[in-house]
Amino acid sequence: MELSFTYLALLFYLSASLAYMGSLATRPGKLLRAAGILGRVGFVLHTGAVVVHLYQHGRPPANLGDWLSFYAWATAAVYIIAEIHYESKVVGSFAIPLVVLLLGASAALPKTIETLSPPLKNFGVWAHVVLTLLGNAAFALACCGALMYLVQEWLLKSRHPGVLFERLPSLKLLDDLCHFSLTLGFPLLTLGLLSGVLLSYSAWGSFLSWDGRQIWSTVTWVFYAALLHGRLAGGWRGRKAAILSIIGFCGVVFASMLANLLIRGTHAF
Amino acid sequence: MEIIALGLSHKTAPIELREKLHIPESELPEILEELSGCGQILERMILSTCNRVETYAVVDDVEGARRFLVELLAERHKLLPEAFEPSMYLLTADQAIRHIFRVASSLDAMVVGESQILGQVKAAYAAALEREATGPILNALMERAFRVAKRVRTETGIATSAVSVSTAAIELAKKIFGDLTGRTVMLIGAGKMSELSAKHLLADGVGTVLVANRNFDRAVELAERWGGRAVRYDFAKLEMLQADIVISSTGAPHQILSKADFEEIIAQRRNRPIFVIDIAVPRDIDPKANEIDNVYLYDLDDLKGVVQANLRERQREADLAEAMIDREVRQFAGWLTSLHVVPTIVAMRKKIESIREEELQRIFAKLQDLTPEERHAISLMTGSIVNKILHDPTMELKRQSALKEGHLYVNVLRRLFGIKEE
Repeated sequence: MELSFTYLALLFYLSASLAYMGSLATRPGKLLRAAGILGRVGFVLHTGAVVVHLYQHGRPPANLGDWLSFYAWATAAVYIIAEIHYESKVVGSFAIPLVVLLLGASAALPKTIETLSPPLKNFGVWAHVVLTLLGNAAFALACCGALMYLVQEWLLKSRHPGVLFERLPSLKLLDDLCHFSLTLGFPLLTLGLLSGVLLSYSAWGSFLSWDGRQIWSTVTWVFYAALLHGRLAGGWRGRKAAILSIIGFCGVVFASMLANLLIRGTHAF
Repeated sequence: MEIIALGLSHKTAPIELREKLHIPESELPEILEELSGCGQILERMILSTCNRVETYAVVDDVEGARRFLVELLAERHKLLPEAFEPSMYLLTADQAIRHIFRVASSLDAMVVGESQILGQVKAAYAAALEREATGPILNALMERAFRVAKRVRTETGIATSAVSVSTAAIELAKKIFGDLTGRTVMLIGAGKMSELSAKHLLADGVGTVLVANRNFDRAVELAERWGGRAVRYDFAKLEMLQADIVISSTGAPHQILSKADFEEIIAQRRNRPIFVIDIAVPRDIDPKANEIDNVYLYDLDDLKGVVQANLRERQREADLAEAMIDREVRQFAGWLTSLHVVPTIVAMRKKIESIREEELQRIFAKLQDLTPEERHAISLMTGSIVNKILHDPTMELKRQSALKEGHLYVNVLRRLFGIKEE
């Protein structure tokens, strides 16, 4: 059941991505509207997959495959909120392909059933996973906005703007989107990390176990703290802020997917 | 019966001639009245703009109508027909339909995609409609032309990009700042072009205008005109901290602002973006300033480059629009041709219906015992048989009417059913 929902969602997301890409290359209008509808149908189906997963397993994702699926879902959710907020669908041409990538990778990975260790069977683990996932999803969206910003800025600076220039939103909207995503993501990540620390203490008696994920998540958090401070206090915006947002997201990807491979620890994957 | 388009446009006649033949809106009713005097012209409409003077008409005799129209124009404008006839074009049937579709969609305009022409065509049609100068064919043609124009505008990018230097500047400003409402524009120097650009920006919602000019009185004069503020020329750099858009057009023989100046300005603005349009020749601003993050510098050549690129893009979109128009022309021409078969279809149905009626009366006279319900049922049944028999020939005739052999089918049908020419 969960797999059926996942594959269907993937199909709709993929169609939405193609429609979004098409709308960048040709006239938007109907194609962009179709992309928006396909993306939302994909999201509803994906939500079905998430609900079935939670009903069947009764625990948050405990392997990389499940985690990627949840991350894709959170990214789609945050994107839809931003799309409604900014009334701009074009951002979907970057955000939805990312969702496809995450969900596609999730579908391709083997689903090993990990059992949750008894000390982690409490509300804290839910808070930790949900908050971190949503925070990371917001950073994914900030990265999409930043990428679009760099493309649009390059087109403007090159002084030969073309079709893509016309289709992409204004620099202001893209910069605002980055700012919105960062100010949404940072408190969520902070609370997610805090809940993780408390969870670690309640489960193992120490606030930090210094596994790869914890170390790199802390590095990422410090990086985003500096970026947000720079934006708010130092007036960082434009190209520099966009590049830093992208670097920050690379940090997120590394911290959540790869760091654990370097230093094994308390995290399941 | 034929649709024609007769006239001249910017493509065939110089402006002097177009001016001479121009028909003011106030004179349209009169000339439409005069055209009604020609027996060959069944329906008519006149479109007169600064780029074209055209008559669209439904006529019985194309050559007769053409002569009448040319003489009328010559008489009204006190010109010899030879003075303008060589510049005129006469389009008939599909070509005329295609022409009005292209005109309404702005594909035949001087600047492809400009929006003004559709309004002018609508006004010309309204004037003809008011005078009852149009009929079923022109009405259908114009309604279709408006629909085609709408499709072309919404389904192609023919009118989306800016094709003048000042509108290109606004397009770029919007891509940097989004909405221009409440933004501040600063003019350094007060040339004609910067004035024009500022006027466009104000129309787009820009809130404040700052004017810096060597001649301070001139700066005050301009600032007052736009409800803005004049600033001393020497303080221009300092005032740039407030501005979002700067238009520089001084007559200075050397650059007045360097890259280093902008580095300083952008740092003081805490990286708030600034859009600088340097339309001075020689340039006022070091082009290297564009390398600074959050500074977007365009000179006159850059803006012209944008305009050229947009025009090329419009041309590509125009090709899509042409294909769309081709399909619409075929559909309309098909409908028009199908009108020719309507009298035959009506006559055929009439004949068979009269046979049915006759036979019904005969049989009812013989079968006196039938109840009214039974008579009604028999009547319905025979009506249904007639309809079913006639359905296929009617549809086939309509289909064939759009093809070359259409007339052959009409003739055969008339012979088979013994329908006389009206």
